[in-house]
Formats: sequence, C-alpha cells, structure tokens
Amino acid sequence: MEELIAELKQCIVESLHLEDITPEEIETDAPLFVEGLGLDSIDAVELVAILEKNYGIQVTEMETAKAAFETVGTLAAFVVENRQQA
Amino acid sequence: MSAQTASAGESAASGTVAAPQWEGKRRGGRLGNSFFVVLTRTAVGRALAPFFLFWVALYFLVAVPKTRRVSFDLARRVGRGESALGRLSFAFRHFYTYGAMLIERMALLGGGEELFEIEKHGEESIREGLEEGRGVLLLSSHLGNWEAMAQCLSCIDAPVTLVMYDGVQPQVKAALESLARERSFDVLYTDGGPVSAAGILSALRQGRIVGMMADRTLAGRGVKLPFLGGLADFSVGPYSIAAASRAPVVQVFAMRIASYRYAFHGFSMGVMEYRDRRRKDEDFERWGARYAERLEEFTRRYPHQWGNLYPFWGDSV
Repeated sequence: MEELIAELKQCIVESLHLEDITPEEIETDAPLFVEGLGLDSIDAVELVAILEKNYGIQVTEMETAKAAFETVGTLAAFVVENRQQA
Repeated sequence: MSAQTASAGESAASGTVAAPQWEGKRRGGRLGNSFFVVLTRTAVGRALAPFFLFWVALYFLVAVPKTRRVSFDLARRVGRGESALGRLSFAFRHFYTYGAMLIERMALLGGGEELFEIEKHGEESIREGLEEGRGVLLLSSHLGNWEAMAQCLSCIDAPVTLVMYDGVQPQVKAALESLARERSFDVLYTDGGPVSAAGILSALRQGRIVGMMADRTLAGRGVKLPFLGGLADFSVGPYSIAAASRAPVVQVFAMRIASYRYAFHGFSMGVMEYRDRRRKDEDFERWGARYAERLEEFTRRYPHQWGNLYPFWGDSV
C-alpha cells in the first residue's frame, strides 16, 4: 500500500503538472479537492483518466467514487479494491 | 411546478436522473400551470399570447433596470445601440423574444411537440460522430432555445445525457426533469468534481450524446476570450472532457425562426487532443476561441435570442 501511495503521489504531480509541490510533500490524508491540494475540475477529469489508463479502473459506481477521491489514502484503497476485482 | 423525481428512478448517489418508460402524453397538468396550457394549446390562447407578451416585455423594459442595462449593452455590441430609440426597441424585442421562447418551452413541456416545425442543418455531424464509437459531445450555449434542442435530438436514434450545473434554480431543475421524463433523456448534475467527471466520461464511453453548455464558467476555471468587442469568461471543463474522452465534438444551436419554428445547426469541431499536456491552457484557449467565434456569428444573426441576462463581460455594464 505504501508503494502504491508513493506511486499515486508521483503520478498526481506528473500528470497534473503540479509545479509547486513534490510527491513527498503531498500529505496522504489531506483533501485532494477544494482544500488541501486544491485540485480543480480539470484536474478531476485527469485523475479519472489516470485511474483508467494506469490501473484499468473505469469509475462507474458513483457512490463509492465520491469517497475514493477524498485523499490520496482513500484513492489508494480504491485502486487496491478495484484492481482485485478486475 | 415541483421536482417530482420519485417516479423517475433517481439515483441520488450518482446525481443522475434516469428517464423511466414514457407513461403517457397528458403531462400538462403536472406543471400545475394551466395558464400556459391555455396559452399554448388553445386557439384563443395562441391569439392572445402576443398581447400578453407585449405587456411582459414592456414591464421588463420599464421596471427592471438591471436587465434593461444588459440588453442595452448587447444592443451596442451588435451595432443596434447607436441611438436611445434603437436601444429601447432592441431591448423590447429582446424581452419579447425571451417571453415567446418561454411560452414555446412550456408548450413543449406540456407535450405539444406537434405544434413545432424543426429545420435541421448539420445534424449528420452528430450521426457521423456516433459512428466512431466514443459518444458525441455537444457544446451548446444560452442562445436560442435548448428545449427545442432536445426536440431536435429526439430524431437521432441515440441516448442523450444533458449535463447541468447543480446550482440551477429549482424551477429550471424541475422543468428539466419533467422534460427529461417526456423525452427519455438523462440529466447529469455536475459540480466540477471527480465524480461528475467520471459520470460524464462514462456516459460518452457508453456511446451516448452528451450535451454541455460552454458559455458560462463553473466556479473557478475559465478562459477569457474575445467575444463581441470585449473579453468574456468561458468554461474550459467541456474541453478537458473532450480531450480525455476523445469523443467527437459538435457545436450546436437551436434558433427560433418564427413562432413555433426552429432551426437546428450542428458544426463539427472534430476530436480534441492536447498539443502539449503541460500547456493545456493554450489548447483550451484555442478551442474556446473557435467556439466563441461561432457563437458570436450566431449572436449577431439572432441577438434577440441571447439568454445570458446578466453582465456577461463582467461588471463593466
């Protein structure tokens, strides 16, 4: 899980082209959207695309998705769960 | 009008209202607005509508200065505002047209689709886009009549999802959900977050026609583009969806030609791909500029159908 979390942080910084922060500086339990990392609607689309491209996960269950996108930690848990079912 | 969604199988979690089986034609009563039913469905009502509209337009012209100023500004921008009389007559016709379209919207909601004539131009761009198998993204605007748009789309045999911002007024929401039930299309409410993004991308992946408005910004990200002699904020969300989904994009208009007569126009914008993912803003500006240019062309042609009745170019009005 730790490896996946680090991987996701790396992915977020690279794919979203975040210039002011390094992957190590992203707090695992800080909010991704609005507060914390402060990602916006364009980043939201990219993040969904990352899940699809890198982990083969198509987000269809909206209720679970809401919880998944809260922090890097919840996102990692979501990836682990959905990877297993794939 | 009340948002009666209990029968619509609404999935609150997903924020999508799914259309059930069409239960019957007599939906007029559901609106609880027999006034509009009389105005649109009876010969007497239709004869009296212009009289009614005249007084409503006059009221807005005289008693609602904020909206009057918006219309005067638009008149100047389209070259009709040289004189005070020019601005006044433009604004009057602007409000009259707004009212006429509102009445015609109500007629559609009341199940009166047989009253309408729709001319179609460029709808093949949607059919061709659907053949690519990644859905089609329609970019619409608040010019003309979107209910007529839904009517135009019903002739294309593909499921439709309309994306609406969650902050719309309750009456608009209710009217939209009512229309969705009538026309069997889905409504997806977006808040700009990842769940909405996933929902929109999922809809496109299923091969659906997805309609988004591109002339207003959701709180936050937008791009300033030249439009009608000034700079206005346009949304960029639709373009990020377009690039992520690689769905063909079509810019669409449903313009009022005459009473109960509309013309649908579709213009292919192709598939959008980022030139440089590190400089997305440049691509957003490029695509947005094409959209704004076409919107300007149609606004100049049909200025009285401009539906953004607020200071579109910021508070300089």
